[in-house]
Amino acid sequence: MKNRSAFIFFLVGFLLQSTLVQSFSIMGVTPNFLLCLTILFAFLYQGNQGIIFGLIFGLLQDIAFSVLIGPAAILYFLIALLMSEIRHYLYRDSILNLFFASCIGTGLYYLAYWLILMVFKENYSFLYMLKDIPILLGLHFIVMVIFYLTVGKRSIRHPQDRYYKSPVKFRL
Amino acid sequence: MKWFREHTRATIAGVILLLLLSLTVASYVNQGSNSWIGIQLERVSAFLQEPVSDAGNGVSTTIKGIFQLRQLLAEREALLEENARLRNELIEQALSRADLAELRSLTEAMNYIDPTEDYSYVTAKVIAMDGSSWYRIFTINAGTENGVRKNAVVINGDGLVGRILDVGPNWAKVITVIDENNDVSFQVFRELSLLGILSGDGEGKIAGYMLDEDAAVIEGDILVTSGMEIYPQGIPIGKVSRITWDKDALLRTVEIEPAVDFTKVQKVTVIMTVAADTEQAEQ
Repeated sequence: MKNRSAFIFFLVGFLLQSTLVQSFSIMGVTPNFLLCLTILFAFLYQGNQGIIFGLIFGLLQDIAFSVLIGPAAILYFLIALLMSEIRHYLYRDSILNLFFASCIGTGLYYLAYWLILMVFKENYSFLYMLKDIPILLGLHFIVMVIFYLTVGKRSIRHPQDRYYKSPVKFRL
Repeated sequence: MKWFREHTRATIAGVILLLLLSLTVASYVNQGSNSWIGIQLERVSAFLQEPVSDAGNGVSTTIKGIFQLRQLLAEREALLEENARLRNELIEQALSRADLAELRSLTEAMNYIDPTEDYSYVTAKVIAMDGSSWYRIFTINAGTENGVRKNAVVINGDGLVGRILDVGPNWAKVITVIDENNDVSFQVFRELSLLGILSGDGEGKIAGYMLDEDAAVIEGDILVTSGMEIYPQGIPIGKVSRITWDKDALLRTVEIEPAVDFTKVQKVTVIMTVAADTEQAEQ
C-alpha cells in the first residue's frame, strides 16, 4: 500500500476514534482504531508503514488525550515491531491468524499501558482495565476482519504465503 | 560499534524507544505543559475534529431519535409536567421579589462584596474525547482567544466536570475529576459543616473520606465543592453511594457516584476567577 493511502487510513482512524465513534460505544467501550490499524499494517503489509504511522499517530493520541506523552507511541511502535516479526511465521491469508494477531496486540497493549501507568503512579485499577478486554477483543477483531475483507486482501503476496500464485504466467 | 552496524534495525528501534521514554519522563515531570510543536499539532487536530464531531453528534442524535421514540415521548411528558410545576413556582416566587429588592438595597448600603462577581464564564463545546478508558480527557473548542486559562474550573448542567489541563489558542484540554490524582475538598450539602477530601478511585468513580471520623454522612447525601482550592464553593460533585469504616486508617470513607456522566458530556462552562485573569495579564 502506498504511504499516502496508509496515512489517510491512520488520519481517518484517529479522527473517528476521537469523535464519531464516541456516540456509538458498546457498554462505554469503543474500539481503538489506531491500534487496529497498527496491527493490520504491520501484519498484512511489507514495509514499515505500521511502525512509522503507529509511532506518529500514537504520539498525536498522547498529545491530545493523555497526561503522559509517550505511552501510546511506545506501545504502538513495539506492537508493530512484534507484528512485523510474527508475519514471517504466520500465513497472512487466514482470518484465524488475524484473530491471533488481534488478541496478542490488544492484550499486550492494555497490559503494558496499565504497567506504564503504575510506574508513573497513576491511579488505575487492574480489574477495571480487565473488564473491558473481552469487549475490546471482539470489537477489534470485527474492525480487522472488515478491513481485511475490503482492503487487506489487496496486500502484496509473497512466495511464502500458503496460496501464493505467481503473477508471471509461463507458457508451455 | 560493529554490532550496531550489523543490527541497524535493532539500533534504530532502541534509539527511538529511548527517546520516547525520555519524552514520557519529561511529560511526567512537567505535567500539563505542552511544547510549541504540541500546541500547533493540537491546533490542527482541533480544527479537523470540530466538523467531524458535529457530524457525528448529528448522526447519533438522528439514529437515537428513530430508535428511542417511545423514550422521547415519555421525556416530553415529564418535561411538560416539570414546566407546569416551574410555572407555579415562578408565580409563588414573584411574591418575594419585593423582599429581594429590599435586600439588594441593603447590600449596597453596607458595601457588601459578592464573591460570585469575581468569576467570568465561557461556554464551550466538546469536540473530541479519548476513545480509550484510560483517561476521560476531552478537548473543547475554546482557548486563550476566549479567555480560557490553565486550571480554570469546568462544569456542566449536572455539576463538576474537572479543570483545564492544557490550553492553546482555540482549544483546551479538560481533565475530569475522576482522573484527578489531586485531592478535592467537599462538604455535605445537607449539613455544610461536614467536610471531606476526595479523588478519583481508578475505577471511573470518585472516593474519599470525611475529615471528622464521626461525621453523620448518610447514603444519598449530595456533596458539593467546599471552595478551599481552585474549585468555587457549591458546585455539585455527586451522591454518596456507599459508606465504610476503614479500621486501619480510622477514617470514614465514602464512595461517590459522580453527578456528571462523563461519557456523554457535550457542552461545558469554564469558570475563571477575575483575580487569576488579572494576575496573568499583569505577567
